[in-house]
Amino acid sequence: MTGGSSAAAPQAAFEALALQYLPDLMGSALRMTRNWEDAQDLTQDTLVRAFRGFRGFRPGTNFKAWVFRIMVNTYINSQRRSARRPRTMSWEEVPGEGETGGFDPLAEGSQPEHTTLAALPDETLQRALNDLPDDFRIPVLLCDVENLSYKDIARLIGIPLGTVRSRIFRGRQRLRKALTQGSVSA
Amino acid sequence: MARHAASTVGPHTAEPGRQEARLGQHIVSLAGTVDEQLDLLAPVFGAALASDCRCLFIADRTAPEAFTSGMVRRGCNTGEALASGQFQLLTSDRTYLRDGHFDADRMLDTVGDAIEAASEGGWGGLCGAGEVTWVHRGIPGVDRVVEYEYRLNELEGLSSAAIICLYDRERLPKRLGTELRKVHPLVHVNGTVAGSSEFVMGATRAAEVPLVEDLEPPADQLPCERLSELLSAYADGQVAPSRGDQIGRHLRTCSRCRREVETYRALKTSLTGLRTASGVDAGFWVKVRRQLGSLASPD
Repeated sequence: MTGGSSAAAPQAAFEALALQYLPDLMGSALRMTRNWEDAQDLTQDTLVRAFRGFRGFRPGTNFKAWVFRIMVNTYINSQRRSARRPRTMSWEEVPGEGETGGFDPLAEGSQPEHTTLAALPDETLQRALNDLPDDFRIPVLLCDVENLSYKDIARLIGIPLGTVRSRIFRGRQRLRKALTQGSVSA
Repeated sequence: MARHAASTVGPHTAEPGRQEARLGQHIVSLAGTVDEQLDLLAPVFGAALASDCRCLFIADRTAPEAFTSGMVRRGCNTGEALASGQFQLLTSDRTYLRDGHFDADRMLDTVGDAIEAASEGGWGGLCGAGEVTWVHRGIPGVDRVVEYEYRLNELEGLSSAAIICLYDRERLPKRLGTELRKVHPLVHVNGTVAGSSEFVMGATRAAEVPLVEDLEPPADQLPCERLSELLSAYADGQVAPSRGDQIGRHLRTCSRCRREVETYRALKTSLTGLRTASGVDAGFWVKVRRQLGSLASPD
C-alpha cells in the first residue's frame, strides 16, 4: 500500500495507512508518555501533524518510520516546553563516580546480572524504565525498545552523538541499579 | 559586590589592540603561545573585574604563578581579586580532568553551577576562561570535547557569562580546529576576536557534532572503569570499527568487561521484549478521524 497517491481522497489514503499502524504507534506513545491518556493525546497530535504534512510523505517509503519520527519530535518538543534542566552538584560536591552513586556493578560478590536481568518480568522492567528521568528514558527507549541507531536517535532528539551514548549508558546504569537492588517502585 | 548586572566585561568601545568580551559570548581562543593568550585575557579580565563580575581561570599549560604575574605585567591585578574572592584560579586536574578523565556532562554541570553561583552571589556575571590544552594528552573522555563545546552554547544562564576556551593552536589537529570553529560563535586567532562564519546551532547541527575518537587512547589501553560507557555502546554495535577491534581484543583477556557487555546485551534483549503493540479503542479512532476531517486536506 502506498500513501498520498490518491490526490482526490488524501484523507482516505492517510487513514488507511494510519489505521494499519495505529496499534504500533499507540504502543510507542504509551512507552513514551507512560500513561494511557497522554499516549492517546500524543498519538492524536502526531496523526494530526502527520496529516498536515502528508504531502511531504513519499509514497512507497516507510510510513511507520515517517510517523514515528513525527511522534518523537512531538513528544520531545512538548517536554522541552514544560521541562527545566534539573540542577546537579557543584564541583566540590561531585563524588568520584557521580552517576553511579556508589553502585559498582563490577564489585566482588555481584550476582551474574545478565541472568537476573533476563529473568525479570516485563512489568518490573517497564516500571524501572518508567521511573527514569526523560533525558535518559527516551534515548534508552529509542535504542533498546525501538531498536534505533545512535545516529538516528541523535537526529530524532536533536542532540549530539556523544550525548546519546552517554545518556544511554547512564540510563542503563540507573536501570541496573534499580533492577538488581530492588528499588523499582511498586 | 555588584549592584547591577553588567552587559559587557570589556571596554564598551573597542580600542585598537584591546579585546572585548560581552556577557553571553562563547569564544574559542586558538593562540599559539601563552603570551598571545594572556594578551587576550588581561584586558578582558581587567574589564570584568571593574564590572563587578566574578572571574575564573582554569590553568593547564600555564602555571598559576605565571598566569598571575603575566596578568600583573599587563596591568590586570588579579592578585587583589584573588584575595577578595572575586577571582578564582583553578587547575585542570580539579575541574576538566577530575578523577583523571574528562566527563563532558560533569563539566557542563560545573560551568552551569559556577554561573549560578556568580548570580546568587550578587556578581554582575561570570567571566570564565579555561585552558583546554590537555586535549592532546590522550585523556579518557576527550572524544566528547566538541560535544561539550557545542552544549555550552545551550547552557542555561549563558547570557550572564562570558566563556573563553583556550586551545593550543600549535598542537591542534586540523580536524579539531575546524570543528571548534563550528561550535563557537567567536574565534580568537592572531590577536583578534572575530565572528566564526562556520558557527551553526540547531537540532540538525547537534546530531552532526562528532566524537573525536582519534584523540583518545586506544580502547584496549584504557582502565576498565573508563571503558564502561564504550562497552555499553559496543553492546549496541555503535562504536567505530577500529574501536570495536580494540574492545574485542580487551574482552578476550578481561572477564569483568565481558560480563559487563553480557549484562548490557541481556538488558537490551529484555527491553526489546517490551516492544508490543497496544490495543486501540474504537472511540479513539473515531475522534481522530473527526479531527482529520475538520482539517479538510493536508497542507
